[in-house]
Amino acid sequence: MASPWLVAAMRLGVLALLLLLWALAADNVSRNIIPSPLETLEAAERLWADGRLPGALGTSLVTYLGGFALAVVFALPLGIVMGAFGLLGRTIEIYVYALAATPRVAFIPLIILTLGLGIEAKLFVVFLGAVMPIIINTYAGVRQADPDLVEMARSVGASRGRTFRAIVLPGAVPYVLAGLRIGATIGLINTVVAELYTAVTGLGGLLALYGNTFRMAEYFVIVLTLAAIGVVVTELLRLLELRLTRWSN
Amino acid sequence: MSDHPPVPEMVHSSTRGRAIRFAKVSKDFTTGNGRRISAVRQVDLEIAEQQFVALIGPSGCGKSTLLRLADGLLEPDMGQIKLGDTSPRPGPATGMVFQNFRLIPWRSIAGNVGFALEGQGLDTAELNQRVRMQLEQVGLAQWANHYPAQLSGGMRQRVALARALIGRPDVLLMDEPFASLDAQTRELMQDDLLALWEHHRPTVLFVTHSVDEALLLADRVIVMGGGAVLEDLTIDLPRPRRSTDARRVAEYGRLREHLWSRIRDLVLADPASAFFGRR
Repeated sequence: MASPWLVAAMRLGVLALLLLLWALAADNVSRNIIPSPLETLEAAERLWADGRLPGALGTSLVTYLGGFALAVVFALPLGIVMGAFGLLGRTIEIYVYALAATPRVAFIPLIILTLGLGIEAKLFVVFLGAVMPIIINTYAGVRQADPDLVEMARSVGASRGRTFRAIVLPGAVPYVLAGLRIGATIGLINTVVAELYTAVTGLGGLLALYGNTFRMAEYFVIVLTLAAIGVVVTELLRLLELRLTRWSN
Repeated sequence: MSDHPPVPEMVHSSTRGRAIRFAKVSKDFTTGNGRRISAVRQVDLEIAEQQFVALIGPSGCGKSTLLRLADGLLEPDMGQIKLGDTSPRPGPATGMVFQNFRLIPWRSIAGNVGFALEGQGLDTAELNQRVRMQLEQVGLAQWANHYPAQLSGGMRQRVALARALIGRPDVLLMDEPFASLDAQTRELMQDDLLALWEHHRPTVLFVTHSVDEALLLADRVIVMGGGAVLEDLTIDLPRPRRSTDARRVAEYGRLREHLWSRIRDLVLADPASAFFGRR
C-alpha cells in the first residue's frame, strides 16, 4: 500500500496538471469560451463579495441536504423492513426497481402541478433521486446477511430479534453506506435539475443565468462550486464508512 | 494453550457431560432442483456422557446433519434425539464450533466470546468477568480488544472455541473445526482441545475427514456413509494422548489402516463424490 502522503502528493500533482491544461486551453481556445483560472478566481471573489454566491449556495444546500435527509429517513426503514420480511420485500421490490429505472425528470411536470414551483417541489425532486439507491442497497444489504453467522447466532440460542440486531443490521452497513453515496450524488444532480425546472433559484439558477449570457468566468465558478459540494459530501460519507468499518483492518 | 498456566478450576467446575441418544433418526433435504435426498437415515446411536466421539466419512455422508440435529438447529423428520433427558435446544449449554470459525467481524474478540451469553440475564459485570476468564483459559486474554481480522486462523478458532465453552456446555459439537488450519496449528489445537476435554469432560461429537485426527482425539470412531452408521469402532489407545505419541503405538497403525481402507472404499464406490470432480 502506498503511503497516504504519497497519495496526497500525487493528487496535488494531478491538480497542478489540470490547472495547467486549463490555462493552456484558456489561452488557445477563443477567450470568450474558456476563462482562464485567474479570471475565474476573480469572478469567484466578486460573486462572493456581492453575496450572490453565498446566497445561492445556502439556497441550494437547503434543497440538497433537506431532500437527502428526507430520503434517508424514508428509505432506511423501508429497506430494512423489506429485507426483514421476505414476502413484503419480494412483493414491492419490482415497483422500486421500476421507479428507479424511470428517468426522474419525467415526473417534474407532475410534481410542479401538484406541489408548485417552491421549496416543496424542489425537496421532492431531490428526495425522488436520492431515495431509490438507498432503498435498494439497504434492502440488498439486509438480505445478504451471512447465513453462516445467522446459523451461529441461532446455535448460541439468540432470538430472531437479537440475531437481526446483532448480525443482520450491522452486516448491512457497508451496503447502506454505498447506497448513501450513490443517493448523495444523484441528489446533487437533482438539486440542479430542480432549480432549473421549477422556480429558478440557487446555484442551478446562476448556472442558467451565466450560461445563457455567456459570462463564462462566473459560470465556471458555479460549476466548480457544485463539484466542491459533491466532493465534500462524498468524502464525509467515506470518512463515516472508514469509521464504521474500522474492524476490517 | 499448551504453554499456558493451568486452567482456573472455577471456570468449568459444574461441567459434566450429558449422554446423547439418537433413536431411529431420519432427516431429508430438498435440493435446489427439487430432488429429495436423505441426509440421515434411521440412525440409532447412544453416546455415553463424557465420551469423545469422532464422526468420519466422505463428504455428504450426513455427519454435519447429525451434528445440527444434536444442537437443535435442525429437527428430525422421524425418530427422536435426547441430550440427557431433554430434547436438543440451541443455546449456550450445547457448544458448537464450525470449520469456518464464524466470528462476527465487527465485534472485538471479547464481544464475540460474550455473544454466546448475551440474552441469558447476566449483568454486564458478570458477563465481562466470564469472558475474561474464558479468554484466559484459551490464552487470548491480551487479545480481548482486537478484531477477528487481526488474528491468525488458529487464534480465531480458539476464539470460536472460547465462545462455545463460555456457556459451560455439557455437550460440545465440533464440525471439522481444524480442517482449515495449517498442519502445525492443527496439531497444537488438537493437543489444546484434548487438555481442555480431559479437564472438563463434556460429551464431544467431533466431525472430521481425517483418520489421524479421529484416532488421536476420540474414544470411539463412527464411520458414516450415505446417511447411515456403517461402523462403530472403540479406540482403546491410552490417555492422555498427544499428537506426538499416537504415531508410535502399534495399535494405532492397525486402526488407521482399517479406517482408511473403509473410507477409501466409500469414496471410490460413490460416483458423486468430490474425488471424481463433482461439486
